[in-house]
Amino acid sequence: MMQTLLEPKMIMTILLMGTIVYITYLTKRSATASDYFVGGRSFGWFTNGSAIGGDYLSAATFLGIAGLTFQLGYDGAYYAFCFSIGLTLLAIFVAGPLRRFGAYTVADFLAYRFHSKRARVAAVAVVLAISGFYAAPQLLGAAQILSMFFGTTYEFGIIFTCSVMVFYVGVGGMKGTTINQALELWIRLGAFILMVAAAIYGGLHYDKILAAINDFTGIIPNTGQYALDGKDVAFDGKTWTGTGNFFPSFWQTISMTIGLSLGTIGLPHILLRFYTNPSAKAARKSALMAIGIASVFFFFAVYLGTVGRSIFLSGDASEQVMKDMVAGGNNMVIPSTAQALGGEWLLGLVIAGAFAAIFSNLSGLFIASSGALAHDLYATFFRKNISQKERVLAGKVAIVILGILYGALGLMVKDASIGHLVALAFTVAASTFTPIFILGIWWRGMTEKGAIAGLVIGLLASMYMIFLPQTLPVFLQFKVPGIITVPVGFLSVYIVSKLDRKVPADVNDFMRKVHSKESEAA
Amino acid sequence: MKDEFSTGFKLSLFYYVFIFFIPILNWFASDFAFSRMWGGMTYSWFLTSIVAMAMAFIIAYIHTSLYEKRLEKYDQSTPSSMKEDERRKLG
Repeated sequence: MMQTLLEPKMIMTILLMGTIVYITYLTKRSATASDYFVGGRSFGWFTNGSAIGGDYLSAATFLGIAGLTFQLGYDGAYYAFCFSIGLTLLAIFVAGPLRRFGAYTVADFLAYRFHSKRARVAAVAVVLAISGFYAAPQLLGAAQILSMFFGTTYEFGIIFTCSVMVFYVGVGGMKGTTINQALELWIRLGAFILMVAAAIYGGLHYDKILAAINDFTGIIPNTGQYALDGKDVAFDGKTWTGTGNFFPSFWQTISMTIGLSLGTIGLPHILLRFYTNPSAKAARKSALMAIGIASVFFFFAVYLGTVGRSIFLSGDASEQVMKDMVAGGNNMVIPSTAQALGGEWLLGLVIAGAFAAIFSNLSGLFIASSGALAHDLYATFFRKNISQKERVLAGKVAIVILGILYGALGLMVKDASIGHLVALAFTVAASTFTPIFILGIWWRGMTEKGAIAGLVIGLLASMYMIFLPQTLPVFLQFKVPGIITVPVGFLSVYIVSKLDRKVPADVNDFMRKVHSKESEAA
Repeated sequence: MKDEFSTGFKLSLFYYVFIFFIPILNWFASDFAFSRMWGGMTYSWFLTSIVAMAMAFIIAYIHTSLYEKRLEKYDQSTPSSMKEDERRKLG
């Protein structure tokens, strides 16, 4: 028992948990709904930029991108490229206006823009759908790490992670969550920097390892027993460094590029973060900082996936590391590579970093969804004269409900690839909230019916194309169906708004509020 | 609003030309895209995993800088009393 507690991975994980508990304890007082849901709008660009980075760079980035690069080669790196685009578009079109608008939840935007409860309900449904899609793979990552490195069952991993989240978000609210997210980001970045330094120190330079992988053909030593599907046993380096491993055609590639690049604009937990800045100027700077951090992160993730592949091809690592690299949808490439590069201590830091990634992303999803349930549904429809204290309590009850729902979803995705599941969440976001926010902020002609039609049709179209592609003709079957569902979302809003023509009477006031420089300086 | 949209639209257009240039290169000039430029680093790998990451930041940085310039210009050109009045109107 004592020996287990003294293992580096256990020490690092306990340190992380201790820090979370301490920060949560320090920030537990949330007197008002503003404190609980948007952290009192008190976070400067550095803290909020770090927290946005923490929210955005989830397990999909920390574990999934390297895993996809390891498995798919260039096509995995292309995933990182697509993920890197979205924050920039968000900074350009949405960050500043959204903060000037100022509210508690994503659905507030639609409700105030159109004075519509129906639009609020439609937005809540979409928030819950996107958050569920996004939360499931994060829980999968957490359960896999716990199972692989601490010997727990998959089911225990899901329950444990959900319990931590219920405490972390339920007690700390947005204040505790933001500070934890910011801190957790730097733990992850620190882990990546050390891994990159260890790889370079070990002579695994980018150009050299890519050349070694590219030139490799034949049988990978000692992998026959566990690489059962054969793809990792007989290996062709030229195929790995080229495209076509995952995306069989040009249009499949374009479809994913559209889905992922526009998806970020519609992610509720990222949008919500811009409400926590004190001004629109700080919101824009936060976004810029998050983009800088994300760019470095994606670069590191692809490089480390390549390092993992070169270690795997050389067959030099221990049998356990080699097995771990190809286990569980290749999601454990980063921890296994860390172990191969820097031994138990680096592995310990990376495990803490992976938990940090999962916790910070999940906490954002919990906060966004709890706002949707407590603020948008309960306080709007069931308790109209709700006090601030009751509103905060409703938020906490919503966190417990979400813990149970997300836990159930996590149990359903045991063998999936984290990176790909997140890509699907991006597609739903790109087809629903992205058209709503882009057009809602920049086009006066959008109407309530147009917005609701966009949300409903975008959601149904993306769900259908993700879950039932086999019912469609072959030319419409896309792995990430953004090329169809995103235009469908935009066109639904545009066409229904044009037919409806019932633009809110105060649309000019709304536009002035979200765009005027006077409100910027205020 | 028009200024801001125009700047954002132009930057996004430029960004998307760059973004779509990569898959076009990969699928329609694949011999060049996947030929080596430095060790085992191919042109496409370099653009996708290194240049693109820098590009995301550069575009956002230009946008933020231009916005701050516009804001500064606005602050200098508008008397503070007028701004107060407009703020009150906005609530």
